[in-house]
Amino acid sequence: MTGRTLPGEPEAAGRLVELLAEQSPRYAGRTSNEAERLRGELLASFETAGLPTEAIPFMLEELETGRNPSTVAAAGRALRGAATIPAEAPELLVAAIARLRGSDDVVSFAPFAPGVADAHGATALAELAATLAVLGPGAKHVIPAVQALLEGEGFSTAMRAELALALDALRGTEAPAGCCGAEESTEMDPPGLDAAPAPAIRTELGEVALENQDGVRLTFADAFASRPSALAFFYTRCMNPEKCSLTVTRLTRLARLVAENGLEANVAGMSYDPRYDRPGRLKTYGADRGMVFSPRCSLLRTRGPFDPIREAFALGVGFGPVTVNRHRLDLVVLDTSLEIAKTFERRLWHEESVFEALRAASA
Amino acid sequence: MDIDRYRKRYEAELAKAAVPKPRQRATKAATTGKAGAAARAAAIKAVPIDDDDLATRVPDLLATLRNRKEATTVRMAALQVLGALDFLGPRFSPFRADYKQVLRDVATDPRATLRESAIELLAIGKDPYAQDLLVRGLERAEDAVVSEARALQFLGYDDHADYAPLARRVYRRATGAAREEALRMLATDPQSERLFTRLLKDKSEKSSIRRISASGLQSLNPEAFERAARRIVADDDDYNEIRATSLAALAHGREAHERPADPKFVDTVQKLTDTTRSTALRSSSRRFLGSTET
Repeated sequence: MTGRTLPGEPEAAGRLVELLAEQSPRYAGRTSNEAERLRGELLASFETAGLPTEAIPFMLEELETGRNPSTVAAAGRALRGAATIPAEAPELLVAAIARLRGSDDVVSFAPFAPGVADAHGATALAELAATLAVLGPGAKHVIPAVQALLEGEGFSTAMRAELALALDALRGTEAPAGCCGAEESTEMDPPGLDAAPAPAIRTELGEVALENQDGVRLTFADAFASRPSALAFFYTRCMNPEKCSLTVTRLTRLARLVAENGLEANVAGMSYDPRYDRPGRLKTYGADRGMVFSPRCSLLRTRGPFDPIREAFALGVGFGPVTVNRHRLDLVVLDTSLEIAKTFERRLWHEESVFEALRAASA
Repeated sequence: MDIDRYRKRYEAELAKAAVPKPRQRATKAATTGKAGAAARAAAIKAVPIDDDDLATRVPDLLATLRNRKEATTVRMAALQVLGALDFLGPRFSPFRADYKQVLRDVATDPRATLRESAIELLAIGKDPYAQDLLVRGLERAEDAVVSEARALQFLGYDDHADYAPLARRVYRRATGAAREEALRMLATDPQSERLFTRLLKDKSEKSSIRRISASGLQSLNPEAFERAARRIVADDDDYNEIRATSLAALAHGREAHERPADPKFVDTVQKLTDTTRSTALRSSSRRFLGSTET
């Protein structure tokens, strides 16, 4: 995946990548709809501008956990601008088709205009299938998965035709130009999973006032010093079940793993939305996801502004008029000195990997 | 490979496999024939739809709904049947994208009842197009596709509170139902806590506004609500209706969270039970006292 040349306009693509960060001023104060629409336009533009390596994690994230049909379709389009397709992309495209099967929609990256509802535009699923077709035989390992989709229910006649075309292209003997580097790119791990340790956090973070799900007040240092800690971020009114809901469910599993292995460590989730996520809400949200609360396993909110936490951990989160308008997945592993030992960002993390990072941080 | 030719051939094969059966032909005749609008609307609603019929019936229903020359009752019948089919889950999935597009088309239809129903269905699904349309109408009255109150109600289906600043503006300028809906929408906006506290305490406000404020404050800050509600319950000069509502909400909060009761407040409520002539207040008092007996 390294050292490749862009098929489009490298300088323009580089500038576009800077705009992808959730905390970019471009998204600040906008509604979720506005933020998603801007992101969709941006992602789709990589199809012609060319998809640089540093933008690929954003596309894979969208294909893995995205729920907005337009934005996921835009990520699919963007992949067509890549000189080499990352190894995970074909499976993620198929998974995205399966995930969005019940919520397909005509996609548009144009600004809102009343009365304009194009009945004949391409749908999100058709865009994703078209990208699969572009991958060609380089992605032939997903043929059984595409066949399984085609044999299942839930697709329109037009989408079945698109999937049939994709299958035909995957079975072809010649790979379309520019695709696919699946074998070559198997070495690509999602950035973040093996990210280098981040700089030490500011010492004053230890004084940040927190409150847990039971209304118990404590400082950041009270909550996390003396033991290694896994701290993930979420908010209870997140609409995407693949993000915050799954994060807390996985924190529950991680806490169980930590307890079963006798590891002395903290497992916690912290809300991006502290004014809304009061203790009662945190408690219900965690309990609904099986979380067994204890001094070592908790859900927290800041008692004051969330900004110090956001800045200290460089979290990928943007805020609209009232609450979060868009966020990536973020989990940090802290050592006993409250320094960041490892970060997991953007892509889905697995409790086993975090457990190993906790074990390493406690050594 | 000629992709267009391949696609046409594939679609033709699928269409051939979906040739209407005799009952489907009869259904089509009943719903599109020369019968009156009421009869056709009744036929659309009465004919059961099997899984095998979906591929032919849904496109017919969508065409009927979209047809601006068709009678409103017939189009409304089609909309109601489609709305029910949407609950079929995966079996309706093949048609969902087209369905949403037709709803978006009807969202700007000249006929108000159809327009409002279509927008509500879209808003329930948090559809961005419908939300943009509703916001535009609240910002510029001449662009409104539904009343202010309905627009706020529909935007409120999305509890992300993205439109709280707009709701605050409407609250300040509106009266009646729109003002109430604006307040309901603000129940997900932590910045509105002070507003709810003030309105709940304000005896000159309409009881409906105070009830909405009680609910909003309880959602945003249960502890602040409890403090305000206790004062209202203990205030003999306040309206019994509001005192009863506050007490019922306190009882509900106790049942849900099993918090210890304050003996002094329990005593106040006990006296209220013995002395009040208000049936509602007595009923709420008993419920509250019941919640303390564990």
